[in-house]
Amino acid sequence: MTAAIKPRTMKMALVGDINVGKTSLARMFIDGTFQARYQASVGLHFHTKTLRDPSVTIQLWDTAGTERYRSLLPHYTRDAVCAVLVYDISSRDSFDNVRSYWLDFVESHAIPNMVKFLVGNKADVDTREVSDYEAQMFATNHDTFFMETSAKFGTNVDNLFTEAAKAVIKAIPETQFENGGIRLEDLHRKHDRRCCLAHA
Amino acid sequence: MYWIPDTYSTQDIASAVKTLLSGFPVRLMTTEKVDEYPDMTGELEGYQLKALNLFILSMSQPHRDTLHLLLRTLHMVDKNQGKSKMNADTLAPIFGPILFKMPDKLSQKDQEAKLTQFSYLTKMLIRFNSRHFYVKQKLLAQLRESVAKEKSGAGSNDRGRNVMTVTAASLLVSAPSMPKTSMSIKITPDTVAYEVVDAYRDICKKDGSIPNTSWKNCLFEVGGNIGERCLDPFAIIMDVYQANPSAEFVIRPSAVKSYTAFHSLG
Repeated sequence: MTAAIKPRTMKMALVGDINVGKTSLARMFIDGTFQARYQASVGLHFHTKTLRDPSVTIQLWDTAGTERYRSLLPHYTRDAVCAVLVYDISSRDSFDNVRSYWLDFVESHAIPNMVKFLVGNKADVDTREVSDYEAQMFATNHDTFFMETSAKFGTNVDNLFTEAAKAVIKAIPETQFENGGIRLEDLHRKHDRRCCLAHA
Repeated sequence: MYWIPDTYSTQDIASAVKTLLSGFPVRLMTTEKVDEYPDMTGELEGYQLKALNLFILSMSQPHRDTLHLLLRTLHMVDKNQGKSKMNADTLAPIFGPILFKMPDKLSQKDQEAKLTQFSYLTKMLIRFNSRHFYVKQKLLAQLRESVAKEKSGAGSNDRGRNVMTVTAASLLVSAPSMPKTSMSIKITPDTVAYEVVDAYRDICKKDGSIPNTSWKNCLFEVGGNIGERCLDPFAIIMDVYQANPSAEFVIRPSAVKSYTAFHSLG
């Protein structure tokens, strides 16, 4: 019977400073590849992946960390049920920016009960500048989940998104966000007649 | 950047397209009328589409052609959402801010409202794709009438420079880029545009003046009571001629339309 039920769709947003590995995390999660060549994201990348356990389809909105696209961020992260705040464990600045900017940012544009996940990426590098203890303490104090990952070797990547999905299922009932995406229909709800035809 | 298959992912290509589009000196949806973008709030969908249609028809041709190509691609992504895992809902917030320019000096709240509006418009653009580019028959008739009036008011007689003549059932078609620059094509009341183009090609092929390969030309209606318009492959030529007796009929490649699918392979 369960096979007939459509997996719940949930929107997750990856945010964080430039060059902390958001796109690499997304790619490793989606198709298991890693690209050493760095290329700044333009605007936004969008990915989806369906997990078996828990049975969910994750819509991953991989945002650009560049300052140039900051004004678009609230637009992209709107209605996300989970924010993945990524920093680079070998960059003190990227962690400080999570504390001073990114956490406030997601909280001010979040839906109620949004799940927050603090992620220290590049766990494979030797030049650590942020200890896992410090990050864990920060996460605990701000009601945020925490995990260290390595997008390069795939360490904890699947685990991260599975845990995030489980946390979302626990924290947010499905009915609140059936579409899983943004609600453009808000603009003309009264007369929306044909648009729904195109919904999957 | 040179192309090596498998070296670049879909995301790389998408990034390149987005960079190209956002790097244009002006955004694709032109900025001069930014305040006139249809405010769709509370409007019926039919009106919204009509407003967008008129808006797109008022754009400059290079913008409109580029937009047409882009929307065709995005529409295909939306249509194949089972495979592409993307649909108009998810494409819209990505391409909205790239197609439209944010007006300067807006508060954060106004910016967000504007972005929502851009996304909504983009969703409509993607979903109804080619419908936005049609010129409605009624509008065309009005246009022809007003152009004809303007011309007669100015006292000019355009018929003198007319290179097209219809005698009984033959149409003079010109093709400036071909070795054979003009010829007479027989038409019947049922002849449609792509058949004229096909007939031209066949005659050219018969006397060996064009190579047997790629042929991606369209029929254009030029002058008379209209500026220029690429005819739909199924436009009935006799009707077009009657609506615009002093037009020239020209065969040349089009940036957005293609008759290729209708060409008989024989």
